[in-house]
Amino acid sequence: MRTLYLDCGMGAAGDMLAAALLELLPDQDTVLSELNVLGIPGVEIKKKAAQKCGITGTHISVTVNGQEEESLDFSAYNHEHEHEHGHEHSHDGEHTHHHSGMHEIEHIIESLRLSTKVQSDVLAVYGLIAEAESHAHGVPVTDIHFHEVGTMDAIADIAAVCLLMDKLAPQQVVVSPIHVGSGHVRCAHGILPVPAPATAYILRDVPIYGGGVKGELCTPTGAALLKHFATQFGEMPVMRVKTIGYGMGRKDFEAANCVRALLGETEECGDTVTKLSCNLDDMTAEDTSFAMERFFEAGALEVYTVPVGMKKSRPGVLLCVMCRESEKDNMVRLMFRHTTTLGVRENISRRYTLERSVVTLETSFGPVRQKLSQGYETTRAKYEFEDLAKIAREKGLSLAEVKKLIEGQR
Amino acid sequence: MPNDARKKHPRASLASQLGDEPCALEDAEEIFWLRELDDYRSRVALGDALSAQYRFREAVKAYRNALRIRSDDWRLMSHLAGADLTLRRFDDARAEYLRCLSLGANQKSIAYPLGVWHYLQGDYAEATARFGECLPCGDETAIAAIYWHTLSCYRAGLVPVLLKDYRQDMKVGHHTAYQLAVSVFCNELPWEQALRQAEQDENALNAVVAIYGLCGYLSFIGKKEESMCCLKQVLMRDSVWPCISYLAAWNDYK
Repeated sequence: MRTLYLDCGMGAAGDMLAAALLELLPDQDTVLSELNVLGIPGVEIKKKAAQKCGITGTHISVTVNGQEEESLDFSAYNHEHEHEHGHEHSHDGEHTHHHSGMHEIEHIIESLRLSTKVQSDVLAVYGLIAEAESHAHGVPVTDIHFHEVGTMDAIADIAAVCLLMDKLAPQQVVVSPIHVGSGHVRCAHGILPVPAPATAYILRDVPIYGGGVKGELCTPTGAALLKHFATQFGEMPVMRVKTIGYGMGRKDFEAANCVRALLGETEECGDTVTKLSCNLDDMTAEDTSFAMERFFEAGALEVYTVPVGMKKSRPGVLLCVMCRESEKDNMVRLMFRHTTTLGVRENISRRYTLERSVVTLETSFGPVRQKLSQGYETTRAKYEFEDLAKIAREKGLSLAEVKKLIEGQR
Repeated sequence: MPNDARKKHPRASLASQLGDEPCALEDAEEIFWLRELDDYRSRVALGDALSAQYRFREAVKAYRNALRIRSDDWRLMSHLAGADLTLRRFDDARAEYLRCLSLGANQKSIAYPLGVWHYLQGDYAEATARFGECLPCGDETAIAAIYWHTLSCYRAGLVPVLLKDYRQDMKVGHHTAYQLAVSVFCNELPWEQALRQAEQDENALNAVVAIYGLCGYLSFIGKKEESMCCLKQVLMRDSVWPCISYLAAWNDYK
């Protein structure tokens, strides 16, 4: 399976992610040219080689009307020159900020030369940021104004990452536990703890750690991009790496300040699923059926019952709900809500699956979907039952007859 | 520095940096926040902010922490060397200034602090050579180089040849104190008049620079008593103790 692993041991920011992903592509200059004609007002995206702790990578700089914008979490100090040693003092404490509302952001994004899918990714990422800002400030999403994340350079970073993800097209994106940094940071809102409230909100349910580095390592933009694209958070899977990219941050730390992206193939070794189960002997079949529907609606991978004989010779059912780890808490809640059980058991199972895809075939009966499965030296094809059943009902045929007729048309 | 300004911007004492007295200064707010950040620029900025409070011992630590991230920045190295020189850590300071050169600093930019280094070590002939390397340059630096070159020559028994580069119309910027002393060196102004002017200067830094220059001049022309009087006047103005003229006076007095 084509897998992208993002190593966020020094956090992540939009520009770092964009630079790391850009390094994975063979023709970077062409992609960069494409990014520069997206139509983001006044924005120019440039790449340059950068080195951190002896590691070479790419740094992406975004200039807006010729000027590079900078986060506020570094503040220069001012003091008097009172001695003669020629120390050079920095006085660059002046910063300018652009504030943009969600509506304005949406308008800009919709005008970009991006495919519908990439646009929807960009909007979804902004949606996460907007929700987090809204939660942090206690105001409706429509009322929030973006500070660092609302400026054109942030739009450029997000659009770049979404476009690059589209080009790389990984089937799964695994993100390492994220090092968010520690201490406090100064931003447009004042002095905030690290991770900043918006970042912390976005990264709910995501494995993060503070570590020993003082400073903001993961920005809200970086957090939202990771949250949106990650299919899984965890350690690097067993994979055959084909290309590696290093996206360098602006700051220098004792550790190399970069996001490392590894693109390759994971072995078809299956994944893990959570199996939740309970025994029921006091529910009607109708109630059980209703509950099973709710579990499927909530994203269960499989729900089934097995007849069991229970204590006091009561016939009952073993209800099993298989789901992803990320859905587990919600599924447990639903099991207690929709069944009469007093306890739910949990088992972690490794699951081996064939890779599945769906194609639509044009037939004389209209479009018919066909499910294709492959892997483990096996390839299978199967018509979508609902499509066959619909034709069979409409035409007064048996399922076998419909299948045969469709086969004859191919 | 006036007393109210000193209260507002407290500075570490000479005794706390060059002696055994503890430094009980509290962090300024900026320093507090800079300590919260581990990136390179913040560590350099922390060193600069501590230097601004005359807390050079702590500044050296901050600069060395920054060096752990980047050791290829000659500007940082020159900040560190300056702090070490102020603390009279001569071996460290010299090694750091020489490292600046290997990291790409030009000879001219390092000549001045190396001249100071030799002066404070009592190696006046070598100091004249280094100060001489500063010229040609802008008038603001030139007047300081002429000042130190001449004082070094007085002590080394050499002819202060850079005085020929002095012009009354030099654009010295805020380096007026150097100009005042150099005008005495050139016999344009009687030393008594210059001393009165310097004593009345409310800016302690200007006063120290000018009076120390006169101190060197008076010693050179044989007025030892007057020279010692000037030296004591300099040492009274310890609010600007990290300035080179003050450190040189302190060095002379020891």
